[in-house]
Amino acid sequence: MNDDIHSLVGAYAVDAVDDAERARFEEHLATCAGCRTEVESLRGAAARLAATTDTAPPASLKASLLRDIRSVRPLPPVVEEQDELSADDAPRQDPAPAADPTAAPTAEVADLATRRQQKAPRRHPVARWVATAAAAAAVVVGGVVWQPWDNGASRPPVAASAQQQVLRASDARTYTDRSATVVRSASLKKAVVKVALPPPPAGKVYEVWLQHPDGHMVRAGLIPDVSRARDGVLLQGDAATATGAGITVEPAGGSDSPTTVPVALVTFS
Amino acid sequence: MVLMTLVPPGDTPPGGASVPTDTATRSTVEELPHLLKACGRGDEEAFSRLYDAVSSRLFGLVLRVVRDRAQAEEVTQDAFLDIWRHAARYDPDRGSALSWMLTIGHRKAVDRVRSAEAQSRRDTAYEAREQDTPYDMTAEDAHRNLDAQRVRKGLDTLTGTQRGALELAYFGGYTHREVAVMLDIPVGTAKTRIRDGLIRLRDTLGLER
Repeated sequence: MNDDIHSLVGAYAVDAVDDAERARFEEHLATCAGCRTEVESLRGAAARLAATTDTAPPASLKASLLRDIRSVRPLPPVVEEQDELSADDAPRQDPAPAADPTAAPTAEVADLATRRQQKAPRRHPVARWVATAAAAAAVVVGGVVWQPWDNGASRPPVAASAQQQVLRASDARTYTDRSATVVRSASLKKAVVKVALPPPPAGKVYEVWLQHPDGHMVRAGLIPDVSRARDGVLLQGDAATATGAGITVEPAGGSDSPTTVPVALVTFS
Repeated sequence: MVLMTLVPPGDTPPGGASVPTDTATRSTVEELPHLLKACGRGDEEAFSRLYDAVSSRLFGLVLRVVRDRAQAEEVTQDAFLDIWRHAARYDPDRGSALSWMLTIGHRKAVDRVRSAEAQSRRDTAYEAREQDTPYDMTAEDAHRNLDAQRVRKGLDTLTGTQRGALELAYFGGYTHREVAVMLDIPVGTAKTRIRDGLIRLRDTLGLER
């Protein structure tokens, strides 16, 4: 099985894998430094092939891009883990040297499933949530590094879905805690969460929650397809009054209230 | 990596040479990580320069995979928006800036053709014919591109079977399983040919600068 997955490295490097294979291989990448290095070098080789096809795009493309980028906020760099409650509180690390990828906390990825079930008795509840979210961040770091783009916009730019409307809303605000990114539009009362997750354990599903001012977590839907979660999942319910959003692992079908420690938790502040 | 054609006309590199010198183009390439970093800070001027430096290559690649010009423009636009959005997350330790950007463009192009599965272009016979003349179909500028010549020489060191599988995967946008069926070979063989072809190309061309 492991040999088999290693051998996908070339096909993965040139996107010659289907979605299921991609998800499986990325899970493998999180724990295999050898494959990570090989993917990098093979992608470099593949990119050289593009030198044989140079073709100038029409001038109109640049003009419309220069217009478009004005309304798109560049995402912050992935900053190194720290003990603060929220990455948003951290000072902007200007030319932030990205964390050494080979030093990615892969052990935490491997341990994620176990950690979800574990208590961390030494810590108070908030610290525990944050610690778990940090473990999930390892998964996201993998996602960010390996697929550093979102596919949401690769659909034809017609008939904006509710999700796209949120992402494009003039009052859209982005909140992130290193484990997930939530884009919320107060005027639309909707939020979209973008998160990279490993496939859930058998018989389990990821469930999304909106946290209300009293701390109560209200169901906001399931994530049926983790491979799409990176592009964004529209949360159900009124996001305008919520104070945060979280993701937990629940039995298939979901629960009415969270039964496990969140794998991601984003505060709207 | 030398990008002879990527210096846009009218945007003459320092030194004023109308034909870019090797040194000038290399400095353009070396500038890419800095331009990306500036994009991450919201610097629109840096984005404009970045676009000028890489748009021919990215658009050419996308067009090669997608084939339809209008769709290639959409995909390219989409790719550049993602490059802008994710610029701060580019990590120079993980590969060249150009490779990072082309990876984004390639993935989007592949997603596009797979979502348009019904297109008649996914006709195996047509693709097989294409294989015989893999270049120059859309490569308006490539003949002026020194790097293209190097890459072609590198490709010549691949076995015919490695090259066939690699080109179907990279330029055709087919999965390794589809490639296996198209070439009548076992799935494991297709995977191996793609990987071995890339390894040989990498080792022949040397690491990207």
